[in-house]
Parts: sequence; structure tokens; C-alpha cells
Amino acid sequence: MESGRKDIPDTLEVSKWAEDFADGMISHAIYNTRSKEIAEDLVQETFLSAIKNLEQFRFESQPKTWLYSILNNKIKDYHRSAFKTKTSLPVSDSFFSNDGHWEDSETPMKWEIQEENLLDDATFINIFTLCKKKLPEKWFSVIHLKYQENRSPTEICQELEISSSNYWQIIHRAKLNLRKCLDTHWFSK
Amino acid sequence: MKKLQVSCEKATVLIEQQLSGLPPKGMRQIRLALHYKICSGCLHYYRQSKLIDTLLKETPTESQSEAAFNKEKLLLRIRDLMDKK
Repeated sequence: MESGRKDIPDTLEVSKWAEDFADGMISHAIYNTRSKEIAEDLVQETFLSAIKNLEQFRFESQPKTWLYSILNNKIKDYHRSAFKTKTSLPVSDSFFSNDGHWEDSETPMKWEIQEENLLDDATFINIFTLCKKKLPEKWFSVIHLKYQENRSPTEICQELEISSSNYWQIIHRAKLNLRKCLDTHWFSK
Repeated sequence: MKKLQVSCEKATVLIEQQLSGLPPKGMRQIRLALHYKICSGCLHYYRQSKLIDTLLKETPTESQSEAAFNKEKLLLRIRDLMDKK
């Protein structure tokens, strides 16, 4: 018997979803991956998965919610695989001497700053963004999940399948390198 | 040279854990406090690392304006896939 309503979306409907949601999805993916190219791939893969699994979609659900849940799973997979496969770029690793104390040239000196002014300084924020981009790709997943997604260390270790000591080593190295970069390009200038 | 109870390398790891809401406990806490008293480098590191935490939280990963997406290409691909289905 005809119900008067389709159970499975057709080409036109999926195309309309792409029209309506692709821009937002790509922004969301760029925010989460730092790369426009990867974001585009993930959004395409999301629609590919959606098309393959259209039978699972029910019209009482919101297509946007369904598509974003697929995309978020793709982003999680990306971070996990990026962490395992990306090679680290050379970054400074000579902050400490053999006995674990600061090398003379690396010992932090006082920064003369007013924090509230810094956050409003576009030039400073640009420099900070460049410093972040210099960090190895492999560390980005950890930094992003911690600071932008507010995940706990335990959640991040589970999601990326890394040990707690590996997690702290990455946070520590990333912060040391960011500090040095800001010191060189802003505070010591 | 004064004898430091923890090395600066170890102290800065403890600082990161402290800034993440996992402060050292017991003897480690005392050693870190003592370390701050005699190592100005680590004290500066603590303040600077705190500022970097704020920056990492407040500055987005990437400008969302970079999301100029080739939607036409995606739509063509969707239609193609749906036709094959």
C-alpha cells in the first residue's frame, strides 16, 4: 500500500543536502583538520558514505545531524590515522642540557606583556598562528583535541591510541617550541 | 650551583600537568615549589606557558573563510554515484 511518503531519499534530495550543508561541513572539517584539501576529501567521503547507506536514513531524522555524525566519525578516523602515519618535521629539541637543566641560550627570560592587549593585536595573533603551523602535523591532533575540543588527556589517549607518557611528551614539546617561536619572533625583537 | 630537587626538564613537564588541572602531589609538589624559588627560568616558563594555553584556546585553528568549496564538483559526483546505485 502506498504510504504517500518515500522511505529512502533520492538523488535530488541528496543533492539538496549538499547544496544546503556542504559549506558548513567543509568549514567544520577545516577547523578540525587544518587543511582545506583534507576537509574537502572528508566531506566528499561523507557524502559517499551517506549515499552507500541511504537505507539507514529515516525521514524523521534531521539529514544535517545524520551527515555531521558521519563527518565527525571521518574526522576522528583522520586524526587517528594522521597520528600513526605522519612523520614529524624537525623541530627544536635542544632546550635542555644532558643533566636536564635549561641550556643557557634557551633559559626563559621575562616577557614584558599585557595579556589583554596581546589578544587584540592582529600582528601578534598572526605570528602565533604561524608558530602553530610550524608544529609537526603529528602533534596537531593532540593540540587540537585538547585546546579546541576541550577533551581530557584520557579521552585523547583513547581516541588517538597513544600512551599517557607519549601524550605529555607531545604537549611538553609543542609548548616548548611555541614558546621559543614567540620568543624569537615577537618578544625578543 | 644550587642543588635542584627536580631538573628543569622534569619541572616543565610537571608545569604542563599542573596547567592541565593535574597538579603534582606530595613530594613532587614540594619539589616543584622549591624549584620555582631557585629557578627563575622555570618560573618564567610557567607564566609564559599559561599565556600560550590561553592563546591556544582563544585562537581558532584555521580561518573559516578559507572554506570556499567547489560545491559543483561535489554535486556532480553525488549525481554520478546516485545514478550508478
